[in-house]
Amino acid sequence: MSIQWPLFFWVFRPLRLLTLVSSSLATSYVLLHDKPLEFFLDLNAVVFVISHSFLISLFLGRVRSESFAFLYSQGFSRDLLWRHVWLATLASVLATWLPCAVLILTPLRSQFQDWMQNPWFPLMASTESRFLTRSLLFYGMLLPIFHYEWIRSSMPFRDQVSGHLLVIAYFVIGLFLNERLWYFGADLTRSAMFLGFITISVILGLFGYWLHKRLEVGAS
Amino acid sequence: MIEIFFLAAIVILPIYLTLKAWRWSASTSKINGKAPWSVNLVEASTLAILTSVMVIHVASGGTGLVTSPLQEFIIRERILACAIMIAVAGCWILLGLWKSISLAAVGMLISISMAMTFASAKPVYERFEKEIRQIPVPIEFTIREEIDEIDVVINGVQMGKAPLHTTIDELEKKAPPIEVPKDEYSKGWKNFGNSTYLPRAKTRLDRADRVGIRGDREKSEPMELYVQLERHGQPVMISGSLGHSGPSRMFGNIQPAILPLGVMTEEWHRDTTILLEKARLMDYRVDADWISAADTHFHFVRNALIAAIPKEPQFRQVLTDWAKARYHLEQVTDMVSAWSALERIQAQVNKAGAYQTNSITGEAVEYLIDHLDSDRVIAIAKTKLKSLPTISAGGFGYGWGSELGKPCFSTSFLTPQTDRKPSDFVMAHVIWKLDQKWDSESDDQDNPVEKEIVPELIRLSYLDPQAMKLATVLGGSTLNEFNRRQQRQVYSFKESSDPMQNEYIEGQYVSRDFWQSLNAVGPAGAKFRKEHSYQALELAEQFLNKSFSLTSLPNWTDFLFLEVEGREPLARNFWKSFRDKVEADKTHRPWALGVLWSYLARIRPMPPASDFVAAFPKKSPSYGDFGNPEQTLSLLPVDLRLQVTQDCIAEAVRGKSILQPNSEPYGAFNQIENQLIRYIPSIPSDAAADVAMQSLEKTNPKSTEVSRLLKDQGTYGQLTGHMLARLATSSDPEHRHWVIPQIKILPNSENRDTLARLLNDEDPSVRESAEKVAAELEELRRLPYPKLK
Repeated sequence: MSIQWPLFFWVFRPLRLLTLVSSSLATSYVLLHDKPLEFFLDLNAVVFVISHSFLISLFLGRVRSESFAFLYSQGFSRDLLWRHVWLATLASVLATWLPCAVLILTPLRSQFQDWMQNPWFPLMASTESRFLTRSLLFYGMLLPIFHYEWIRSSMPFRDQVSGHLLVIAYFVIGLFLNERLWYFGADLTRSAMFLGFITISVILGLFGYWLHKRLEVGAS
Repeated sequence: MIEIFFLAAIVILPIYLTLKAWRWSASTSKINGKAPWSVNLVEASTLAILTSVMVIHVASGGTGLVTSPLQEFIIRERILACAIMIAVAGCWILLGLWKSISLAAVGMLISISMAMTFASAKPVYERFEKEIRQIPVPIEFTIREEIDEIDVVINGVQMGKAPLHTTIDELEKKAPPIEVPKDEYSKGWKNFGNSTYLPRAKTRLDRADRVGIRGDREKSEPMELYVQLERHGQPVMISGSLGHSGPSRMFGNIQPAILPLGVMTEEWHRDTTILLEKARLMDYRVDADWISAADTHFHFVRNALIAAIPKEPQFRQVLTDWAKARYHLEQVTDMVSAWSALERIQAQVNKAGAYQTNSITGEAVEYLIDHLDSDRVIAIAKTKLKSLPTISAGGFGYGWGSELGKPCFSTSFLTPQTDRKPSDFVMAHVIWKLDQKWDSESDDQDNPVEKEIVPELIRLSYLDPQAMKLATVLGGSTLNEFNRRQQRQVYSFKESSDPMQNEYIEGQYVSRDFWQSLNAVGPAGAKFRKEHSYQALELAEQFLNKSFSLTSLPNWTDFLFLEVEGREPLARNFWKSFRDKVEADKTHRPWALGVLWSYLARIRPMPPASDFVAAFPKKSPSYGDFGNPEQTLSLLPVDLRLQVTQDCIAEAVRGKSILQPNSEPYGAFNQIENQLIRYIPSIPSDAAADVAMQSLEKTNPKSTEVSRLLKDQGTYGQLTGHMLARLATSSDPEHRHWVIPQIKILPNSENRDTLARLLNDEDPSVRESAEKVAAELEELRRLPYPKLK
């Protein structure tokens, strides 16, 4: 898989400020948060990942913008464009997630909190790697849904609620189930629910790729 | 409330969007063309998955767990609902392929599924209740002592051998209720040791408890049962308190009513007494024959030994010897053999499904401590603690109590624990004893338990406060540093908005950090209590105002007695409030003196005798106001007991002097005065023995009373060693006489020496009694060991 760096930088362009802000926010939060990090018990972290994922898809999916129309009219194949959309997405996520991972794993966060006389550190440092894996998994579940939404809304056969209803249902049910959902392996029903959500993300991720090829582009 | 909001959102939003989609879909599809069937299919499937997830969630009672037959029943019922939803979805997909309105279809799908899930809830529960009530509620009659061949007779009808499994319906049919006159029921009761046993025990069984989640109870008359036991045709007596658990059909989990029956016969009690007497004759070093006889009376002898240890600590050696024989601990010579012995014990504990520190098994574990590979113990315990989930619906799960003045780990769980086995509690016991052992050797530096295990427990305590209790018992610098840092973040005891950060104490929520800091041991805790003494006392005042039944010292008072940096404990400052509250509680006056003295007895440094005497009722007491003075005085340290007793006698005499002799307060003072005088010979000190001997002088108006008491104490083997020594060397032959029955009851080496002296006594009647007892002891020595047939 070849990466065309100029194309990548062009696609990534709308995410620059977002990535800078999200990375700064995330690293500050990870460094300064005085409670042990436990992803699904930490509403701030969950809301942050949802917002960041939504904004990525929003900035990359402005199908009615001139820049989008320009990009899609330069002769790049849809597969190449799709790959670079996801590379830009990944870059924004990793630029936010990696500094946090460094802070947690080195363990600079633990040492800083220890220096700040936090009673839970360094004792709880060993449990925080879960925060990284779970947040990454959450990004992985959300981003295909959000990307699907803007692609589906740009189809020739789009209607008023294309994609949106699905995302709303996904979120309302996901938030309603809250942390109960995230115990894969705890028992059969919870594992089934968790797998249900993963399946939806995988299906819509793949289906989004298929629909992207039929994307109707036109600046308004 | 939040669930209702979400549910409303889930139902209303899709309906709104569906209607909107319905209106627009036709026009947009005309403009943009029809969506490919694959799009409709994928989106409908996606929504079907989401809907199913939601249905599973609602069906399983909102927990996502299928833990009860009720939930399984509801899920079974919902399968039909799900099938209908899928059928509806299929119709809409077909319609979508034709008219391109798949989004309307998925919106409808959610709406219909939610409506069906909730609308059908009540009939589902009702059908479930009807079904579950058809199942007869089981009852189990078990024998606590695991004696075989015991027949259970209920309401005069032979029902079979224990353990007896039956149902209420069967009992009603086979053993209909009978009328037993009240006098007849309790006739023939006997005291064996400290327990009362009856020839016939009575209990009441409710037909059923709550069934479903609606909390209604089936109305029915409880059934009254009279239970009798027989073995080989001979009656067996039953422990007086016949409690039972259940029955329950909550959420469809059928819990039987379990009636554990404590049993005893005169013969078994006599055999147990003989075995204990023989152990005394052997100076508490029992042999293999004794152990093999004790094994046949296992539960009776074990219970008798554990009950005797507080008064006769030498019996702990018997328990140890018995544990060594039972678990072949004499073969333990090195780390390898010790480890295999520990594994044997763990396997046995897992098989039994329970473990208690205060038992023969616990004794065996404690014996192994010196031989075990401590590095291996620490490594295993650490791995186990690391494997315990930090996000858990349940607690850390060890039982916590106090027996024989030490914390007690136990695993008498009613529900099975998935992530821990009874053998883990054996390991917890080993860890605790290792810490004690290392602390006794040197407490200057952290031992491996404090270095390796305590940090893991603190880590677990973030989401499970129970783990902190064990960490506090183990202590160490990590815990102290944790407490010190935690205290810097604590500002108030007020309830936190985060429920995870609160603890429920004495009917109110308080900040968990504050509560833990307040109860922390060590220098950090002492500093916190100094800096937050005002708030701590305010909190104590709040707890005190909520305490409605002060019959014993409440557990929450613990922090009041802990060390405070550079000051007296908080209990000193709180004493007046506490005393006023206890004295104002008119309904629990018989317990008041006991509660107040327990409070004072825990303050360090110990308050002077005058403080204890000040709590003694002085104005117009009634007969019950002093409770049980012997029990109350035994709470005090030995060196204070005599002075407090004498000062209280003086108070009673002073109180009497200003009252009419025939008034109730006068009678109450007179009664307590006599009780206190009789108590003095029971105080285990030379000074008390001297005072008791002086009161035997004929000039003392109470001498007859004291004489009668000492004679009785000798007869029942209750004389203290100090009193025994005085009486045995008294110039009065009658006093020497009193000693002899005591020697028969407690024939340890010290008493046997006394007996040897009395065999050469100058008084012929004393010599004669001593010879008789010596002969009886010799007979006891020759008596073969009793075995349970």
